[in-house]
Amino acid sequence: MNLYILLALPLLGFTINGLFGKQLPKFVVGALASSLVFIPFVLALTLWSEVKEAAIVSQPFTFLQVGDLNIEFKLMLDRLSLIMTLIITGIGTLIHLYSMAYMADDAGYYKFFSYLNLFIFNMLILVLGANFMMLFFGWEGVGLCSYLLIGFWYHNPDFGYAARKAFVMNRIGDLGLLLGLFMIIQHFGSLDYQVVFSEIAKVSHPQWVYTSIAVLLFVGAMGKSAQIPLYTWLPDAMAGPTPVSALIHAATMVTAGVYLVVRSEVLYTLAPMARDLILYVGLATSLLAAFIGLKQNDIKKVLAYSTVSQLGLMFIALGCGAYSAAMFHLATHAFFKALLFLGSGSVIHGMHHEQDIRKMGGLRKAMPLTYVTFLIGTLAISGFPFLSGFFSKDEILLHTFHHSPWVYGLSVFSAGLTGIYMFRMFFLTFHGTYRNDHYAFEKVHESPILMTLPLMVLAALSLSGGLLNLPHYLTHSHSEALAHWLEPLFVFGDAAVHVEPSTEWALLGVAVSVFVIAFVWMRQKYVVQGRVAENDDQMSGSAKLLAHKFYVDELYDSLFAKPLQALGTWTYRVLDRKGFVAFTDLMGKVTHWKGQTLARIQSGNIELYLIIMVLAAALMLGIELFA
Amino acid sequence: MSALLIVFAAAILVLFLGINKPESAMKWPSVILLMLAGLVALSGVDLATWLTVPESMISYSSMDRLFVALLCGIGALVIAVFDALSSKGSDRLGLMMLSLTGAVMLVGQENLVMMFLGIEVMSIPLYVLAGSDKQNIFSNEAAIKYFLLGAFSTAILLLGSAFLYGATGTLVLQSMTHKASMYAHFGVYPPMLVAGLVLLAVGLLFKVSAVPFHFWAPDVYEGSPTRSTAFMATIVKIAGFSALLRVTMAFEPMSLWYQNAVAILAILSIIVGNMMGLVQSSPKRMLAYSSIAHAGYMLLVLLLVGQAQFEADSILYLYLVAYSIASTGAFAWIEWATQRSGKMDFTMFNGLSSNRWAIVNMVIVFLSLAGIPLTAGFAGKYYLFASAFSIHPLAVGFALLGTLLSIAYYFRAFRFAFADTQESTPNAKFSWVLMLVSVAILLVGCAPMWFMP
Amino acid sequence: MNTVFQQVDISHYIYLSTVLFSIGLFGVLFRRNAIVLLMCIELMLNSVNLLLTALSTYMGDAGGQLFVFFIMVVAAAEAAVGLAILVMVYRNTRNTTVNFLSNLKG
Repeated sequence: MNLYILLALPLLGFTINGLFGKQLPKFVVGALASSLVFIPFVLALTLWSEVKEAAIVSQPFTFLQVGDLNIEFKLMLDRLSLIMTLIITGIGTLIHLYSMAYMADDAGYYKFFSYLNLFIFNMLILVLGANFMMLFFGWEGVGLCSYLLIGFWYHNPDFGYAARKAFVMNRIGDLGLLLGLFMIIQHFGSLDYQVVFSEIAKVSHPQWVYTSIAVLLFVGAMGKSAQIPLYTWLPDAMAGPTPVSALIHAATMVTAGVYLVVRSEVLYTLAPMARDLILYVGLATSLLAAFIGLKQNDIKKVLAYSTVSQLGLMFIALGCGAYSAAMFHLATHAFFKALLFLGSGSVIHGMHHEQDIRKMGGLRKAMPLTYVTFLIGTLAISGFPFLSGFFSKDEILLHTFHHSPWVYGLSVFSAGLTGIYMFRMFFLTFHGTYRNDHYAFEKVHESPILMTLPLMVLAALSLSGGLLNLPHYLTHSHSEALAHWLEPLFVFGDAAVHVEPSTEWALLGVAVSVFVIAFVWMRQKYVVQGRVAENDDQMSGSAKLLAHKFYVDELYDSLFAKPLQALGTWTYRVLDRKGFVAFTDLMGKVTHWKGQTLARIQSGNIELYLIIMVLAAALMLGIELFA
Repeated sequence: MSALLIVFAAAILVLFLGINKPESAMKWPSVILLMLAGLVALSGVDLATWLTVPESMISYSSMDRLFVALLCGIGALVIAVFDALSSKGSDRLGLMMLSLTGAVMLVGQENLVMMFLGIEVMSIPLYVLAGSDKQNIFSNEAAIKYFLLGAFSTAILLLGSAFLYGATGTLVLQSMTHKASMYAHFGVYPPMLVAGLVLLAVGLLFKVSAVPFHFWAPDVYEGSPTRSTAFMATIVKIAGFSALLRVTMAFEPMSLWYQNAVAILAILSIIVGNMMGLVQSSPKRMLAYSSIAHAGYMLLVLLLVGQAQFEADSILYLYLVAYSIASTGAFAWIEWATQRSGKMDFTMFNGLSSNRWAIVNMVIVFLSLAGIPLTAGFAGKYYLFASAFSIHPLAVGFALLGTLLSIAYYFRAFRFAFADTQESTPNAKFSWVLMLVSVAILLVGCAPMWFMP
Repeated sequence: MNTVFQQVDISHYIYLSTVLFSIGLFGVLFRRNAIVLLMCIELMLNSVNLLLTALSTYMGDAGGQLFVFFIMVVAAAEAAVGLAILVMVYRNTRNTTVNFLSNLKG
């Protein structure tokens, strides 16, 4: 089968809905968009056994050719991109279905779905591309879609600002990625994965080449996957509709950075310094975001910081060389974070666009389905034994323990913080008493089936996601399925971990006890004592610092934005107005004046014309004859 | 050859059948006949096998046939895009097609006799067309100026031909090449050859309105009925440059000798055309100066003759395609705006921006004239300037500067279109052919390779 | 075949026709009446005809004489159109001075 069909279907949906969506009935628009994502999912599933044998490569054609460099438009479906494709189209389908109900009253319904399909198209290019150029193409494409969807309700200037912020932050990262690609071209003469990676494994280049390419690519990943210092856009990106947050800013796009590093496994194994950098950046991000998450009161903001924190955890895994563990967490995170976002969307829908958890409480009676599924998501992310998050997180912790004890300690701490902020939010939302004076409790309603169905599917996945990669202490025959699946792709493979079984059980005990502490503490505080998060003006000290996100936005603003703006104002007022504009104005005036002088010759008088013509001809004759 | 016969027969047919019929009755038949002639030229079918014409008089290479197809296509476009004028008789259509016959002859000429015949058959109907608005004093002035200056330049061209005949002993261009290469070998040129060549060049440069032989163009373009102007600005340029290129190729061995003169003429045309275009208050006159500037750009093609790495004729062809489509469109829009507002100066564009389709199409046309990427004008300019740069960087520098200046006056129309929306009539209709023009411009702009032989 | 024409040196013909051409040229430049202008242009054309005929005879090549016939025909057509234009202008302005019409300028 031709891989282009996978791409063509979402693109078709984008085209049809973008051009004619306004005229089509809403149901047709939604159903069309959903099915055009669902069909690629089914197609990808049918390719499973084929991909298992060997990667499917499409017929390439020349995309651009400059000198010796020939960049092809070429798709490749191998074991890694198959997993990514299944996540993108599978979760994508669920979120499309969900959006049909969530966005039902929106005027830009058709526009929303055409953007979503465009996003799926670009994301598929990103993961299916067989060279870095295709990856870059998709990388920019998803950035554009992210921008469009964050600013979907662009009538609100704050949302427009958030969209621009996301775009600019991503562009900074893209610059790094682009420089990395240039270096790859310079040293390896190609962008094709197969060529570049076999070249890297074969020919030895100086160490700094590997390190600098790896770091530059990671800068790209920092932007897209919201790592320090470029993470600030992701929490603001919650301005977009909630399904967008679930699809783009939790499950798929933000994991593109992880995909990039896993894809370039050869490179990163050969560049240990770059990998250390990834480890520390991931660790710092994970902790910082978890701390900030403790004091956020917007239900989506908590989830956003949680996403940043979990992405940090994935990068910790990558930094330890645990590529398949990172992919495992990527997959389970996609399940439970999409579930949590959609659940929060359901709450927001039921509360009529209220997002502040201080104004909620006791919703479990009004929205039982949402409550149960949200509970499953919360348990999964906090590491409740034998749910998906438990397995994937423990695998990463195991690798950190093997790497160094203090990294392990900090990671466990971050995992504990996850439990704390998640349960804080969960209890404040669903338990206790209802606290909103402006919106009667009776009006709070459960969401329609179209929204709860995806919740239930995702809840089932969150429950069972661990099956993807069971640790070998549970079962010997089927253990580590994902790691084995990915193994043939890697040249060097995952870093080996040798831990005594007793140590392994001890680590499990630590993880479970951290979970229990978080659960009990939060339950005590918010359910038993019935406390509520304080208002903004009552905060003080560290709480205020956390609620204001360590003032990082303000710091960036005064460090970069303000000076740049001042420079811009100066160039406009002085260089542009007084310099260039004055100069061009002068040129214009001079030419105009000269033109008017010339126009006097064109007097309308034939005799003058004739004389000038004859003189000119005579001059030409004279020059040619006598010179 | 077949295309020439079809165009000629069509001209006679339209002239006699349409003598008492309104133009609107003969308009579409003429368009179809011209399209047919163009298609025949493209396909290269020889319909008149019984007719043998000496190769030394007239012959059509595959490149020439493309030029013929372009001529017929543009002729059809000009007829199609303008409203029918007269309700009494279709003689003007017949005259246009007669003039086109001359242009087609000029493209195929291999001989100074045929060149002269082509030029005259092309020009004489144009004198009449310039004055075809008989009651209009401006049209009268245009006709008499065009006629007197044109006849005068013909005389100069003829003297040049006679001198060349005397210097080379032949009227056939191909034989002249041998003589020229002989002289070039020794590096000494007899005065008669030099004088003949200069005078011949003056005659041809007059036809393509290159500075300093351009004086007729603004006055005639402004005074003539707009349809005639569009016809002159396109057909004469295409045929004139084709002839100029043919002559230059014939004297290619002497290229070192004339190169600087050509560059200077090109620079002069570019400067004068663009600077004068900047100070005009009438859009029609502005376009006349713009056509002078375009003639300057196209003169750069002559620098490429004799350079093996460039195909001067296909570069010129692409430029002419771009120029003539956009020019026809521009004149048609000006005519449309004039009829709508009854004004002759730039205020005719006032408030046009509220007519969305019209303004979009108009913008495309003017962008192409200015040479903005993705339009045909850019493709033409790009290939031309990029190739000419290695031969004569200075001239290309002036050409780029001129292009920059030209943007200022092309965009002036938009300033009026967007500035004053008070007197808008958004519902004014325009011909669908005008949409076709914009589509063609974008098509050529996006895929110039399809139009470069 | 040694005719009378060939006994005269070719350069004389060239000078003669050049002088004739110049007379026509100066006439065009310095006369005001459009009809006289037309006549001067005819003179220029005829001087070219003379030159072509002489050269043709001198070189024994028929091409030049053939050219002359074409020029004569075209000149007639041109004169006809020119006179028609002049008549039209005269009807509207009652004037045949070339500079009378100079509204188009700038």
